[in-house]
Amino acid sequence: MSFIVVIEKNGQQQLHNVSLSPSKSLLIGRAWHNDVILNDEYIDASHLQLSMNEDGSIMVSDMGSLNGSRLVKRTFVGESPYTPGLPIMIGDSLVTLYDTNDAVSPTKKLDSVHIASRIFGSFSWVLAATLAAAAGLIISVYYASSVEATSEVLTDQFLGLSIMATVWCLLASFVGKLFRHKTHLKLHWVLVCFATFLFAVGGQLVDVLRFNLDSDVSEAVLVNGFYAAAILLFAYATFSLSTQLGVAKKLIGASVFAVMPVVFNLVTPLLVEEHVRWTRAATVERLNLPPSLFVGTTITLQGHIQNSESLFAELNEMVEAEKLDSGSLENLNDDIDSDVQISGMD
Amino acid sequence: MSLLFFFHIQFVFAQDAATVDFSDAYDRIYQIRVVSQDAGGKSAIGSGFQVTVDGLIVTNYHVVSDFVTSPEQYKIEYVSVHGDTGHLELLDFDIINDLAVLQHPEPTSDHFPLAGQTLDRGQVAYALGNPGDWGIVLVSGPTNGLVEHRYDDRVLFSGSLNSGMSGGPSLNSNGEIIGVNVATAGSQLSFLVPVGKVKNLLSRQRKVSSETFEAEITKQVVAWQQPRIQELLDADWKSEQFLGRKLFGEIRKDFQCWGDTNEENQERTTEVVRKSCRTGDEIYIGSDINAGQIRFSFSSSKPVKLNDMQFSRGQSLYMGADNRSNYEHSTNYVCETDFIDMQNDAISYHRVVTCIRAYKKMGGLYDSLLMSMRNTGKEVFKAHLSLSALKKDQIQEMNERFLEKSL
Repeated sequence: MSFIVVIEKNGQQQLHNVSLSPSKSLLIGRAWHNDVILNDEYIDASHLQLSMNEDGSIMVSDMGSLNGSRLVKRTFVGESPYTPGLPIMIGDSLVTLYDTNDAVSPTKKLDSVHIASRIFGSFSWVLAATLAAAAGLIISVYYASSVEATSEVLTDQFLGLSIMATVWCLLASFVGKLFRHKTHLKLHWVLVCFATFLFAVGGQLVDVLRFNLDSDVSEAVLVNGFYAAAILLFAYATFSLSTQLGVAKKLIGASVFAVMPVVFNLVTPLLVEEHVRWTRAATVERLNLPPSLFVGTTITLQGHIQNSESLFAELNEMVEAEKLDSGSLENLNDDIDSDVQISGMD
Repeated sequence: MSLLFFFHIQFVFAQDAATVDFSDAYDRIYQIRVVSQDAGGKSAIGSGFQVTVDGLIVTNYHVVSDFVTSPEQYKIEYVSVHGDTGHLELLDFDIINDLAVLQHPEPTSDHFPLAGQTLDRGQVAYALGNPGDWGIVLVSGPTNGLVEHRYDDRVLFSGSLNSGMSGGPSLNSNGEIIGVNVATAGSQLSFLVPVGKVKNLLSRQRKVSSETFEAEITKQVVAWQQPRIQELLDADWKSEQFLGRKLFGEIRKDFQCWGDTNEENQERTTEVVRKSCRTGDEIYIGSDINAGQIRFSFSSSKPVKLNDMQFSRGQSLYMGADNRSNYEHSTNYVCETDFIDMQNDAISYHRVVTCIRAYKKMGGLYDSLLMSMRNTGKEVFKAHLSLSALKKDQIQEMNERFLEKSL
């Protein structure tokens, strides 16, 4: 029967057409008399023998070599049954026997990374992405800032972003080399550049929404939501380029990165004690944008005064809750006192 | 203006030899001490003097305020010129006029008589007190009538009152009380509480129990604010121009206004013109809390080197409280922000922010910060009102009036 022996050593492959039958065994080793001769100093002159039984099954035997042989990562001594397709490790080489009658595995479809690599790996895309990142940066400096866009500010921002993007791409490519055996340096660059652009443009849109919606809830949802979504997309794309994880695992991994800052934002204030949070200032963290971007709803002056009524009720509840919190008899007396005060005042 | 016991000690020289002999008066000045029950140390010292045969002693409220805010932690003591000491009982106090009445346990009949009225402008007063622990001093100087820009009467006295002289008497040349030393604003600029306020307090003839001190403070603040605010609401706020806008300024004698610009700043990115008005009164309640200030301001900002976006983004809605307080006394501010309808003006928006915090011990009283901001893209006009220690309705009415008047 006709077989192919594939020898892999230091990433190089050699193919040998061989025949094997119950009457014709196959010898593998360093000496010239072997059927397959290997140039590997850790292999014995006559190292391995493959033979076929009458029923067609194949046996592999180590011929008492110095360094031994391993089948499916296990050292075997003497004879062992062998199934074509399994790699045998001898010395520094990997020997695999394939039956020429066996069908090869079905052709693999190119995955999204290959496709992305073909499309976006070209010089024109790298250039386009770099220009987009520069545009994003200019948008941030001119429209997302409250300070004058001087040449120093622009230079600092450009230098800062270039260094960060370069370091990021090198790091991500290194990780890709580890997990995917490919670097995709150009793809990472295109990704970082487009992400910068989209982040700048998206940030502007989110700011216009925040400005017009003008509420604590919309602030929290929009700010946290925007950052989470941006991180989720970026992390997912980076995982795709640098790892071979499945869709579910990439989604979970990216979600962890996306949720972390949101959780941090929401949990940190809860960890600060009330008296530490006290300040003499009223902090109203609302954006102001130019009037041309205003499409929000307006109310009358009296409407605002009416809305402010609820602040007093909220404060009274706060003060009451604090008294109940301390809950001692002393505070109970305070309660009675304050009742007297209020009735005395009116 | 600093209260005397906060002020650094300065040397005092009597300018003008007294034509009258006040040597007896020295013996009638007490040093008043607030002493910590546990630690035994002095937490505050001031001066005091006897005003009735039966041993009523008058001093400043701020001298004994530690006792009023924590009666279980402190006690009040006197030290006479001869070194006698003893415990004093607090009978009544007036936090608005910064006065307190104490009972001497073993009084002699020797006391200062009260004058019929305080002195007129140009008449010389003689102030006595014990600055620091150095002994009693006499300071003479002309009185200059009442301080302008205050809601409550204070006599302006050209003499150097010093730390520790708080609560001491000021006499006319007949040796009668015309006022009580209360505060100083620096060299030769001092303030006296006029004698009429002492008479009012004494005429109440009451004994406030230490359990009701908190309620009493609240009651006095409320009673003081009621007419003070109502008069403002009833008054027609005299209009004054500010950058072509019809606004207002010194709407009553207790308000004083200043203006400023940032023209000197060569690197400014916005051009700011501001006018700020405030009242001269503030009520000292305790070492870490005061209240009662009213302040309002108008400002106009225009971009110099900024585009529309940078200029608008740079407009902060930050507001800070004008009165001293802390977590023990006040909640944090809670705020309401809204966009307000603008008539006949398509390319601008008008934003109003109201922030309120509540007093924890003065139930039913609040501090308020209000900001109205109108942005046309080329100019941001802000109007700000800060109120302290008022009831809900007073705040709401003042804010509404202020917004209507400053639109």
